[in-house]
Amino acid sequence: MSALREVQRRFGAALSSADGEDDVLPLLAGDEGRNQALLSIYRATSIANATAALRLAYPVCRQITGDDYFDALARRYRAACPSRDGDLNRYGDRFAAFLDGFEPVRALPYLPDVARLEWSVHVATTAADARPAGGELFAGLAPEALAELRLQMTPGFALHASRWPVADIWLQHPSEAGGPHARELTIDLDLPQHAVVWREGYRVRVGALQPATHAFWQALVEDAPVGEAWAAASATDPHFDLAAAIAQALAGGWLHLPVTPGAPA
Amino acid sequence: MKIASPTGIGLRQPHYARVLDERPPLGFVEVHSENFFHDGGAALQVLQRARECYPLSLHGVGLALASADGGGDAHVERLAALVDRFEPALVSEHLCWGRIDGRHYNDLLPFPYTSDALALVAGRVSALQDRLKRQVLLENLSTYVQFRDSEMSEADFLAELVCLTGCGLLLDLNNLYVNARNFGGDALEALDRLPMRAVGEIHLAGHAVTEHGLIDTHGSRVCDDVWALLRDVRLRGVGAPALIEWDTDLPDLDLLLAEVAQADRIGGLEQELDHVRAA
Repeated sequence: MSALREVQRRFGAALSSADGEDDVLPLLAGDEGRNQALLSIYRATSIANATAALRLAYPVCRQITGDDYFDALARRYRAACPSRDGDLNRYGDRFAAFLDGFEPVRALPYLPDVARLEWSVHVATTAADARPAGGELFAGLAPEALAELRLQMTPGFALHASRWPVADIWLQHPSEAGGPHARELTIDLDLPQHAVVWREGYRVRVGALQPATHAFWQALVEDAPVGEAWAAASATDPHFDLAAAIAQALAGGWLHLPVTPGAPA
Repeated sequence: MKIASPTGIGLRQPHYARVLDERPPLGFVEVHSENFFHDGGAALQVLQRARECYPLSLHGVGLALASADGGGDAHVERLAALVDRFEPALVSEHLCWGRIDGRHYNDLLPFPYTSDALALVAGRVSALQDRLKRQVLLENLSTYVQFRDSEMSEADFLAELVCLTGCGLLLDLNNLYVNARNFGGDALEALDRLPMRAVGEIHLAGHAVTEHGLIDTHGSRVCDDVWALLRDVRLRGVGAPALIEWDTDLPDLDLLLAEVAQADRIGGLEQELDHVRAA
């Protein structure tokens, strides 16, 4: 099977870069000039497929950079972080990390964090459907039992902490369906922001969170019990309002089945 | 379940709403399996609704069965989960490679048709059919280059594959035509070499004409020559359902339905001849 592997290695190299063509052309039958042109069509198709997938996952980044710049970024990303999966919906998971280290986007310092947020949105779009828990989750719980309670979030729930106003940036960019996600916001680029992503039915929502509220949910996501998460939130802001945080979570459908000590997960 | 009624369409996102609301008379709908490799969300819900209205065909583009590398197991498992959930009438993949050294090119790539490659692909197809507990259809590819090391034609490769694995064929007549035009071959001769009894589905699509030859874009109407090939295949007694495949520059649904009607007219040809013979 090594002959087939060698053919595919060389063919693959020619899809990555025109430099690889010289090693493939001797393997091909027919006119060399024509084959060279056809290899470039294969290369363009592979690039176009990867670019289209990245556009789908990062519509806000694309609006920020403009189409041409985004497509150029997509090519550089493909070269640095090639697809590893036959399902292109999974392509793009390393885009934010790629942007972190990509010098030419320094003029848009918030872009990597916007990309991180968009990937969470992308993942939430296809996350498992779940029926959120309601207020009965907490009904009749003694304070000690509440403090010991561990909470599970509905699939797609994600938290972000950024030194940029990522939630506001995402919310003010039009969604695919047209029209902005929310009302027009005045964005203060000096405003660090915590953000939350969640699924409401089939719709993915994004919102800003107070730092203490973020600390609370972050602790719970990391499997701390409510008491510990409350302490973490209160350390961030002594005025943290536990009841308001829980009410927001119930209204948004963030909470899933409870995982209590001793109960099977 | 077998598909008994005539032509289907590739169901694409811009047509979801109209197809589900109006439910035009279609033999079946086909989707790309990978677009539904999800845990949940709106797309799966759409597929669920479509499945309630029509027989379903799951058409894969990412298994890369001829890749010298293994590593497609997770992909197979995701497909198996989808097949379990939606119980499609048809499951198909392409005779191509796409993955090497851990990298996926996400395209349908050609390879030399050798006995070694045949052994590899046959093993993969058999394992896939065992895992899915059902027959899989393999589609002939549109290719733009040919390899010096090929020991047989694609048609002969597919015929052997059918013998070795019991797989079926997804006969893409546009691909057959594109290759014949690009390489100076004869589509009818390719049809002669393919086992017609194994054909489980037929694909019809449009292509682009470029200075470097025909490119399989799925972005235009089916050309007259490909309709003629469909007539020929029907006269050979192939009753498998046909599909109008349109992926780029997607037109209004009405145009797709007009193409469906044309395929149905040609599909009825054999029946008409039977009536004539009987009279």
